[in-house]
Amino acid sequence: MQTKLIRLEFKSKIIFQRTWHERPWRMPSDYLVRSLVYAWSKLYGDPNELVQALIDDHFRISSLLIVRRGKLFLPDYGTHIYVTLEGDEIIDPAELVTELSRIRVARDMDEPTPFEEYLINALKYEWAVIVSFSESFDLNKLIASFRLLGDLGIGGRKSKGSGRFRLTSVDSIDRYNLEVKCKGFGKLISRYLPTCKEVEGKIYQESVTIWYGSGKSYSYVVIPEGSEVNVMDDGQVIFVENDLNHRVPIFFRPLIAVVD
Amino acid sequence: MKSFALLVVSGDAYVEEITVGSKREIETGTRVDIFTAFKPHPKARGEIPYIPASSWVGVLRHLLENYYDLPAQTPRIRRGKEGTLVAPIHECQSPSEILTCPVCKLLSRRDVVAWFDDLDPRGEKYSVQRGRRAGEYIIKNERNEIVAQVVLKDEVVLPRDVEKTIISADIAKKLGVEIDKDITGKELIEKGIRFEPIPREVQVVSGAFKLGAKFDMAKLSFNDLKPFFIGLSLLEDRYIGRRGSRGYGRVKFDNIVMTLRSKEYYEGGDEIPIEVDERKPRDVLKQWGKIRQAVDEKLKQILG
Repeated sequence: MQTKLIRLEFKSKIIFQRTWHERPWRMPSDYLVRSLVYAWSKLYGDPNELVQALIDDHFRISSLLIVRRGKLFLPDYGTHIYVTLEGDEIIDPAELVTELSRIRVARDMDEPTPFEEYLINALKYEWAVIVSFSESFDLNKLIASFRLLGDLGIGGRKSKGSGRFRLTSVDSIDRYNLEVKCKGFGKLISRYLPTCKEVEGKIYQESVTIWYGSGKSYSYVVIPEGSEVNVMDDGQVIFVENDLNHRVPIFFRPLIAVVD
Repeated sequence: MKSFALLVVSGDAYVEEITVGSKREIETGTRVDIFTAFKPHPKARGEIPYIPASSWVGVLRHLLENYYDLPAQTPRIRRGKEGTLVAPIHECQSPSEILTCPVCKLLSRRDVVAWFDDLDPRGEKYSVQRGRRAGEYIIKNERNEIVAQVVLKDEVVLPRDVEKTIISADIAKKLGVEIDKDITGKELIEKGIRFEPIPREVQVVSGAFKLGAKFDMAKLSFNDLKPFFIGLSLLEDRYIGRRGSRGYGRVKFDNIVMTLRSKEYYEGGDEIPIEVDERKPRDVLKQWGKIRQAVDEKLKQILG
């Protein structure tokens, strides 16, 4: 598998709604995959090639990382911070997240429902994702999908300008002093749902709810980013059907980083 | 395989004394009551003023609903000072209604077909300088042009709804009115106390901003975009933000350019320009047939 770092420069804030168990402060790998599937299917008519690559394990992706002064800051679920792999520098996401109180429209004359939106001020830093892919995977199509996604936005309220970004470069990860692997011991940089019951290491647990319509959701307990694990399997890609009858892949394969 | 094409409409938006913002925590040493909207930018030191897409598209949509005389049939609940207010808006519910409504077809589809950008100052890289007065800023771009200016304006808030204003007994006592329970503003006036207008300072922003909108031409025809250009024309006669009836919040659009982005563009190719001379929304509408033909010809090459 080859590894690349895709750098992104945000032009507007990312908006998340409360579909989470917690105040959102990061964009996990499975969320990115769902967005990429949307962009890929717009460009190429359907997402089948990307979905097949996910099933055949020809492509893995990390959660969104921060790049600051040439260093990568990885999300750590346990401490809710972005931290370098060496652990010597941190970024507190509290400085990035603002809460907005809103009221949902009562279309059928029910009571209005108050809800919160969370605004991630992504313009403050440069961001990146690490992708790992086999020779048969078409990276150019993935880059094209990232470019389109940047034009259309990621997260909520995309049609009103939120979540816009620009892909600035596709780099080697050599100069970031880390090695990225799919198996073995290391720090997780994606969300991971193992196939085996027991996983060794310093493990966090996160309850993930995927909403696919009003009041409809799927829930999973996954191992989130920042866990230090000995990965022995390939994780899982689960398919769920949303209320538009689309089969949506939920990507829970592990990607781990170790100091090079 | 389905083909893909985005029509990108870009141009300049010249804005004059717009306040799209809110009351925020007041910086030490300033007396600003309402700040204009600011956001960080990857290529700016400091934050730049901008007009959020939710603001200008919201006004555009409202003007279009009036223009097409569409019924406000959906209750929109929003938070008011005294509970919630019901402010109905137009919103088609069924997919068949949406596809025949000129506004909802563009702006209310579950499968989003139109994307609007925030209006950021013209340029790519900015320097933000504080002015001499509190709350005053000048924004220059990479060519050292002043592209936006934020200044303070004085205004007054007139006392309204005096019947609903509640004055506590303690406050009334300070005003020399002895009462044993809270009273309304109207009752206070009857006791000889006058309500004065409250002065406040509000930031307004002027300058040259970038217009940006994208449309999914695999799902729309060029004629479906006509309401967008009508909306831009309507916006030029109205305003964005506050105090529009007093001349604030004016916007003019110019230098409109249309390009098509196909799959090849996202794979590293170039945009396909639509060669038309019309640069203002009203001129685009005047030459609609000619421009539609030019767009359709290029679309045919992409979509087949």
